[in-house]
Amino acid sequence: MLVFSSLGYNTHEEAIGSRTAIHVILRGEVRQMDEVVAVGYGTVKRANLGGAVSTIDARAFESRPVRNAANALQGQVPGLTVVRNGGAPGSSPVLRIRDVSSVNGGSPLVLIDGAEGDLGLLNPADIENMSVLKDGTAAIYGARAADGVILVTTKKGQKNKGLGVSFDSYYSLKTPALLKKAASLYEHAEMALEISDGSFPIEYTQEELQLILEGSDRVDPTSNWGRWTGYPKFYKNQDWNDLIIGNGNLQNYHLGLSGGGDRYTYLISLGHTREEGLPKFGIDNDKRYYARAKSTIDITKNLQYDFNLSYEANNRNYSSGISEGQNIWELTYKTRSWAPLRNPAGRFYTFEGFDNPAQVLEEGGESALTGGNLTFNNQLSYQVNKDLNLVGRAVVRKNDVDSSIVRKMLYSYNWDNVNHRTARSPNSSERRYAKTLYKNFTLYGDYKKSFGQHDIGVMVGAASESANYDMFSAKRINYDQQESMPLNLGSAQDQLATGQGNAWTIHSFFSRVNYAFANKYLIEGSLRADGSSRFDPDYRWGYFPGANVTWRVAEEAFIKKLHFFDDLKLRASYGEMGNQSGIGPYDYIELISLNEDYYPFGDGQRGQMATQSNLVSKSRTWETVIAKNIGMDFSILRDRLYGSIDYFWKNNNNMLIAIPYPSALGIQAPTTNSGKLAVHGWELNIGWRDQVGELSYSVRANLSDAKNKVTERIGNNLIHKGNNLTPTGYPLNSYFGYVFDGIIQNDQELADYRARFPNEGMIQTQVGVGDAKYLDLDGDGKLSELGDGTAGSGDMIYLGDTNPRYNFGLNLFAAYKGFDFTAFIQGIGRRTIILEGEASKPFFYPWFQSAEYWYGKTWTPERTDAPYPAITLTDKRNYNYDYSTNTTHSVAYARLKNLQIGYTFPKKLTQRMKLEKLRVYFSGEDLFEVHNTPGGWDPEDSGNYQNGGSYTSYPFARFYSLGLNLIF
Amino acid sequence: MNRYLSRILIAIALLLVMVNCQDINLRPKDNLSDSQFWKGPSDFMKAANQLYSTAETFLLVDRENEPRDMDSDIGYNQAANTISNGTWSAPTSDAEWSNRFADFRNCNKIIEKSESYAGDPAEIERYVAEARFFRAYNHWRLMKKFNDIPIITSVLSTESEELYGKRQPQTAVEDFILSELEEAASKLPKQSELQSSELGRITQGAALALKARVALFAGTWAKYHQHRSDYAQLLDQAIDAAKRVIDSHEYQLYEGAGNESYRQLFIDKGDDSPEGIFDSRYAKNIRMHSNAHSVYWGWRGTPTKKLADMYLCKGTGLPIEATGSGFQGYAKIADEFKDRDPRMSQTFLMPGTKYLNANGPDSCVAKFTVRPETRTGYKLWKFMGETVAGVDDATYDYHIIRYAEVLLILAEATFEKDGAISDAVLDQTINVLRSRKGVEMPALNNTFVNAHGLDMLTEIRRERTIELAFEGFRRDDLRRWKKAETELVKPLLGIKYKGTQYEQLNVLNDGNPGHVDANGFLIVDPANVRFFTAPKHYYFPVPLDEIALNSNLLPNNPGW
Repeated sequence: MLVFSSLGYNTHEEAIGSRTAIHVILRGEVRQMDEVVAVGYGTVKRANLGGAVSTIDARAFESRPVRNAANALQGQVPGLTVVRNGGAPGSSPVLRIRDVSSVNGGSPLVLIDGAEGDLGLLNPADIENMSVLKDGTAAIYGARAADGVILVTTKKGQKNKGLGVSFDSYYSLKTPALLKKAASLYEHAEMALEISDGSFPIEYTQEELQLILEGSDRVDPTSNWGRWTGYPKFYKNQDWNDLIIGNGNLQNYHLGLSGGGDRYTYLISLGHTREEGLPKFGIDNDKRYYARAKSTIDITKNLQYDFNLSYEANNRNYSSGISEGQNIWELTYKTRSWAPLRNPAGRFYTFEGFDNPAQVLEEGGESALTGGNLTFNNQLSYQVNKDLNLVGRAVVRKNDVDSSIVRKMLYSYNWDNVNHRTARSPNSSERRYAKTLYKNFTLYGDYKKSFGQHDIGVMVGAASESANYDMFSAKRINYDQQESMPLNLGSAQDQLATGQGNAWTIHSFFSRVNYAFANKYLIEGSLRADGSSRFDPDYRWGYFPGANVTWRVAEEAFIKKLHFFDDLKLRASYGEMGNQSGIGPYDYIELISLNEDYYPFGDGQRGQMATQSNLVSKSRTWETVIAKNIGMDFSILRDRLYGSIDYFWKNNNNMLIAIPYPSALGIQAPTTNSGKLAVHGWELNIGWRDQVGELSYSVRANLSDAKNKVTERIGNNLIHKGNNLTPTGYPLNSYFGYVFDGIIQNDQELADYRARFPNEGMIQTQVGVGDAKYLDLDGDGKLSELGDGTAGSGDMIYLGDTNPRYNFGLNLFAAYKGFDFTAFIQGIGRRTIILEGEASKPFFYPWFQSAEYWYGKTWTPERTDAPYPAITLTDKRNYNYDYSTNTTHSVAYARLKNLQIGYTFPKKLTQRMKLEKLRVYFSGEDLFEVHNTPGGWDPEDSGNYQNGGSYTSYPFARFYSLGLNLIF
Repeated sequence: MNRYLSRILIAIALLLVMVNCQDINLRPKDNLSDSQFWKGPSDFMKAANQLYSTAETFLLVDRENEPRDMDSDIGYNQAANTISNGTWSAPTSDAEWSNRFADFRNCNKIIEKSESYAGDPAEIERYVAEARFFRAYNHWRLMKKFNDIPIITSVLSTESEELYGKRQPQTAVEDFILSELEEAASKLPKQSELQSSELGRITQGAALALKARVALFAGTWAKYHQHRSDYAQLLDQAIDAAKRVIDSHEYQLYEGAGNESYRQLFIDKGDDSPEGIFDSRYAKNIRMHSNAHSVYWGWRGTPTKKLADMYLCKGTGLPIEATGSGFQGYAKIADEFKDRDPRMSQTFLMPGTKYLNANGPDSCVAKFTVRPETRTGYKLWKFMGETVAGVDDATYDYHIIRYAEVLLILAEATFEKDGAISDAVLDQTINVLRSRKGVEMPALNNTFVNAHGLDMLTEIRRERTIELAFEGFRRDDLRRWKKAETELVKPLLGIKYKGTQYEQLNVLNDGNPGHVDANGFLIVDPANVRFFTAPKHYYFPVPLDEIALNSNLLPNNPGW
């Protein structure tokens, strides 16, 4: 066997046999500039692409133990950030392109094979490539493209190829990543002893600390200690994170069959994934079944029919306590570090009124969620003549979700094995069924013609999309047995049934014109008109133009003479896109809503309560985001070093914001298009690939950053402490707080501080040594909230915002002989985190322990250099730990997202087994991170630190997997 | 080219057909639009039902669930109350301000829609009257806190001028409320006319009782703060309204639980009693609350010495400080409860008592940290539910207006207007309260007052304070009598600690230094941290956010 290879060409192998002269033609590898990129309603060669479009090919998803394709996107594309929402099996992250476009949220429009779809439901193995339209090139999608567009194309069979069978499988072990740690019993007891003002009843004395340190098994039955009367006193530390959170696993199997003949191709893809969650008790799993059948048929020479039918089924079974009611993550965190798991009789032990999370998982009832997603996508393309092509596409997608939620009562047992209370009463069983029917009909024509040096292209089309959502649910309560709780076994008394539904429709017309001269100067313009059912008929239509210009500098004679650039391209683009995420489906109609609750009149009469639900403003309309982009693409050194740089501006000039009105209005006013948001940023992408002998390797790095600012808004700009949604002149979700000035160390400092704030009651009477000091920025002697730090307007300054900054990704790849190695590191350079709600201070409430983070950091007379004020349980603690420069954390992190080492067995070996290819690999996900986030908080958490947000949510996991790829 | 042309034309035709086959004018699928509502009496009833859900209840919902009377001198919760001791600062926002305007809008919407009602106005007349009652009631709630407030009588939009209107003087607001209540009363049914399924709806008695309450407030504020000169006329309105309620014989004091009637009135047995005139209703699985457990935990405040000392001695009917009263002193815990007005031991939970709480039978000990927790040493029993139920599953109603208050209004208004009160009126009012089953205190009359050198006004006010303790009246009473400046600066004291059984039993919680005053009483909030600046602290400030949005609300209340 002779192997012929050369950089830039496909490696070719040929058996020599007995020949003495061999003629070989090497085919050129696809250069970066020749890559075909999917843009709206068509494709274009990267060489001619005028917009900022990044592509991701199938390799990003192959052999990665991620169930949701969106998770695999992290760090692959500069400007695309993926924010994870907790690690529950089956959860979906939030995607964001180039920061936000509006305070009302909005996410990129995801189109799978031309119609809107859900990345979380798609089998990652089916993805051929993805295009991310980041700038004005998305304008062709008009009304919902303000946050960018992600075009996903699925794999298809190839013509004239025999049946190819591929099988992929992996097994992953999941271990919990970062866990929020509560203070251990010793730490909690020590911190409690620091409280010197009597506000916390003493639980453990100084002498008893020794017992805790030793891990004593002593139990004082039914004592009175601290605030607990009649409960046993324990002295041993229990690590509840350890007791409840264990390991899970993820398995995946995929079978693909594809092939084709002269006039047809086919592809069948079958997949199954099953994931087990982390809790050690109860159940938590997620199963997926994927089936896809694709075929292209040439009905006549000019008429081609594409058929794409896919069905994704998912089934999640989980203990209800994982997400219903007071969820177990909150319970695990708050369960006292002295409470043992079981009482001496072996039952789950409940300390006082706090549910035992293990009991909640095991005995709290089970819920199941079954969903199915059927997509029927067919397309007919008609090549009218060599220049004109007509495409018609009809997509119908039906999604249904059937959930059953069973919540059981818990019988709580105390240390003496007495059932002292029944928790989570009444028990209930609920069935919920929701369905969505989505339809998309598109028709467009594409005309291309060349006249000498001039190339012209015209595309015109129309589309109509609609979605119809319906949900109904039924619930019965007070079951007298908990063995089996289907609806029909419950009592009809106090049963509840309700329903909900909404629908929307969008009609669109779109067009695009391209002109290129001498293949060097290209210009393109597009226009889309969208009419949406969400608006009053007079304000229904929006128009979204776009344009871009490209100069292929590398084709210029003067550049060619340099013999330096393999390719060099300058481009600029402009586009207007719409965002309707702040608008409900019927906002222009004044509605009456019936409250879910009732008011009880005599005889158990349930009085329904009706009230006006919204104030209407007919002139509310789309937010329009104007995106401008300039960029440069280059490749040099024989296409080995390549990269691109982009700088962009996004302006949302009619952002829907809530303007505060005087309370006399009596109702929430509708948001009006009276805000302006400006976003700007840059992206940098550089790659190097080379081959040295048998070693081929590549390095690709990307770095991006974006900043947003509310430039203008009508109405009063009342800036409050804490999170401000749209403060003028600052980014969205900006935090404001006081300036921390240290801790009062002695009586003299206390007197001086009191002199600083003569008009502030609390400082004069309650604040003492060990408490926080703040600056009086406006000099009025009062610690006042209103204002933003500008002279005379209050005592607060801008503390930061939660947007991640300086996102970077580093992709490393190397292949040598049969081995391949891939590593992917991702991180951010800066982000502001402020702990809020229950996480904001030690001893937020006296009935559960603080975060371990605070241990040893609080002021005591022996530890005067501590960064945080003394612990207390009086209201003073809200003052001490208020939003300020002291409670703001600036975090950065770098995470080894993926590490893969694989080995492809030599062809000689595999062919003996009748296999075309056999590869085995080890792949790890989220293996390791370097970060400076306080106390166990994961730096990737979505940033909502208030009660119920990511403060207590399903932990993220690390994945260690082994897998194999087989091609027959 | 022709065959292309025809094919292109077909394509365009398909395009147009396809685009139009999906309707773009959509109607809401699961909600009524405003134009589909307001068609019949049941629609108006549903809209009126909404108004009941924001009425006052056990806790001050708009003040972060602060328990009632913590802002006065008769109650103390787990920490010093900044409103009680005058150290509070002007807030940026205040839910008690903003939520009332939402109520005004809902009331005005019903009234506005009734004017364009297509059917027979008589069908909806009652619900419109309820809306007017609630409009007046909510203006009352706003007025008693902020004094000068805007009067809103129409549904406002973002373009309305009234959004940026001024605050109307208290005089105008009072007159508005009183006239509205009088009008509404004429259209509302009597309590006895209600069907059993309508129990809880507003009645004529409720409108008149509220009118009496507002008129008394206005009249006494006028007499002592002189914001208007016609206080006698206001007190007359109070007397008149109260008399009409009494003479209607629609209500009477609750005595259904024998000797426990006073205490049981406030919990489960007191639901649907003849004493409730306007209740905030709760029912199993429909609307429930958590006060049964919370009072047991000690989170609804505990009484202070001020309240404890107010109860008269039962045998003599004299205050404890009078000679020969029969007061037994403080040496033993049970001593100060001996031979006192029975309402004392039905409001306070005396250590040693066997009682029922929401977990079952229990026994009270004196220790501060044993539930019910206390900081003053006195434990609260009033409002503690006895039915065993889960933490959030208590179902007893809250009496917003009850008959006892009407009697007290008549007595106080009569005295304030005439400077004297006849024994006949006393027998109609105070002495009816004193003869409730289980209370049975000696009667109050002019002879008794003169013989013992007491002051009738003090005695009337005393009766009011102990009858309505922990029902949220105390601070407003001190404000309108212009007594707050002397009473609220006094230190808040608890049990007598030094040299008593409390000290022997070592009842204090860890970390409590046990500061006592010169007489050995536990100091809970010392005088040097209690402030009252007159006239500033008689008023609440309009929240700063509101002023920033509407500067016409200025000037703020005096001193703010």
